Amino acid sequence: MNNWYKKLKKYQEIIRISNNEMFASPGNFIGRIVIFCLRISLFGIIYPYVFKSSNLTSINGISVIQIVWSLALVQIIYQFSRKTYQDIRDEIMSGQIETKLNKPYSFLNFVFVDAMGKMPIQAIIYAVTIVLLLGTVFGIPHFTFVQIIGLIILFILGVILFTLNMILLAICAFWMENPDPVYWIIGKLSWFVNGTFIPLAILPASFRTIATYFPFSAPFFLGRIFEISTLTGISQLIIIQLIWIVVFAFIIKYLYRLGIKKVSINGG
Amino acid sequence: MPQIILENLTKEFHLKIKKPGAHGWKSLFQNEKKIISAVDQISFTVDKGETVALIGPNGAGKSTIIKMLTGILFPTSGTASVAGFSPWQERQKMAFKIGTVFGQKSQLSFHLPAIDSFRLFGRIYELDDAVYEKRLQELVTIFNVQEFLGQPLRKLSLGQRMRCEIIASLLHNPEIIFLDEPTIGLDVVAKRELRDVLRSLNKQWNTTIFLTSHDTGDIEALCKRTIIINYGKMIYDDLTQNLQRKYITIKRIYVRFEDKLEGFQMQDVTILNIGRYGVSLEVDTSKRNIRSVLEEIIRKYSIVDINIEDPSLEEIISNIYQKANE
Repeated sequence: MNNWYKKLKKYQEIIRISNNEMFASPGNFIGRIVIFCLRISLFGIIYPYVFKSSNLTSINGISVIQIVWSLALVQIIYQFSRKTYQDIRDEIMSGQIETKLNKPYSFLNFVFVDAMGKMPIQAIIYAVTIVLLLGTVFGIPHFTFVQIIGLIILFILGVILFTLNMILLAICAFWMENPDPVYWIIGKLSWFVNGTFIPLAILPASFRTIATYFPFSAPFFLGRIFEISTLTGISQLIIIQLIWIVVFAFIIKYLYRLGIKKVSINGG
Repeated sequence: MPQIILENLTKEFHLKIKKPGAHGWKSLFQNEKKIISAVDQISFTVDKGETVALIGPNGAGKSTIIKMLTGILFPTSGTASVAGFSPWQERQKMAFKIGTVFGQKSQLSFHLPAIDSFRLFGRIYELDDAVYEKRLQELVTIFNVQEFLGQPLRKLSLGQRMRCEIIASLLHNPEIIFLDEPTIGLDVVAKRELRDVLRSLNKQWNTTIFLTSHDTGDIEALCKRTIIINYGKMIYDDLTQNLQRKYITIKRIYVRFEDKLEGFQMQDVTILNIGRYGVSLEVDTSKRNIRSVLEEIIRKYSIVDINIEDPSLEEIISNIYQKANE
């Protein structure tokens, strides 16, 4: 019991430190929020203009307000863990990983907890930003109770899955001189099927099917909350996310075990 | 029982060779590979409380050995035991028993005050709050870091930062501390302070010190035993003082004469410098006995002062490297 308590406190402290680091340079953090606001403002300008000029009130039953909100929700996921990829990649490539490998914790647990530890505060800040920005300009779309609960679960699982995606791509650095090409290809490929710029609700059914089963688009399921709003539909998305989380966790653990033996750090 | 045991430890690196210039694109399709033996069948043991320097020229394999012993790198073959654990198979358990300082890489958070990182390390090493506070106070006093504990690490000087790095690695009172070039980039005062502290740690807590360094000052000040490796092979393992005794075949003699010197000559002795009233000589003791040289000088000249010096440890080590290369 005492042992477990100490291990728990270890990860609790990692969370505290990662939050402190997040706010160590407030300029960076504020800058990210400003860019986030600019991005969703852009959607808020383009889509209403397109709808108005085409005399549309909805596409596939999705209104323009819902479209802007769904794009903003997808953007939220991007705010988490992208730095995790850069940090792990740099640590492996530069050999800085050695300062973590000689500590009494699992490196994978450390980077995962470090990334996830920032989630609660960031989630609150971005949720408030979205509500203030879109809520005052467009209003808040109607959410059923099921959608609200679904949104929270899809968000939490989405951030976990996105973090695992980033860790998986970053540990490719054990084998590659620089895993950025893989990161860019998968990242840009995901744009077509995760609703980053065009909501899936207004895309053909074939795209939506691919989006449902493509592992790198699963973190962004919360953007589909207006398209798939029934209990059954949301439950299916949650189950798919859970399956991918388990699959990614196993793949990462397996690859890490292989990769760690290939660590090559130049001496002094 | 020894605290560190290495048996035929070997590490090979597989390197990709890229063609230079415009031919670099060819490496996309075909890779020429080269196997480099960074550590080749190294065996030795280190007892508790020993202070050991692992030295060698750049690329000799020193850091690779330290990284294998701290569980960071996996060996190609051979075995090792550190504090009773296999470094790469029981890495996390072993980590409680060892401390590490890598002179070129920081383990502390760059943007946060050192005290925040210390607290994290206290938790990581699962220390009770009371134990952590007591230990921290001890180390803060020894290393004299109280005044800058609350400043972000990035605002500290290299010497201050290095002291913080060592505190972080000692918080859990490790049995062994591995230091990979701990004094790199430090000024003379900071180096001396660091060596004093490490020496007192060894005396006070009987902490085993295992370090690599290019600075012979570290070796002379801290390490009773020296292991020299070159091209991954061990070429010397003995007491540091024996290193001087065993390898010193050259003596330097500085003589000042009462009368003006004219036509100074001596057989089997290299004259380094001749002044009006003094001379610097180098004697290869394998060719001519130092006693006979001194007797000849005293017999022929009227002497004011005489000084006999050994070459510095740096010169000795440099000679050993050169001989090994030949």
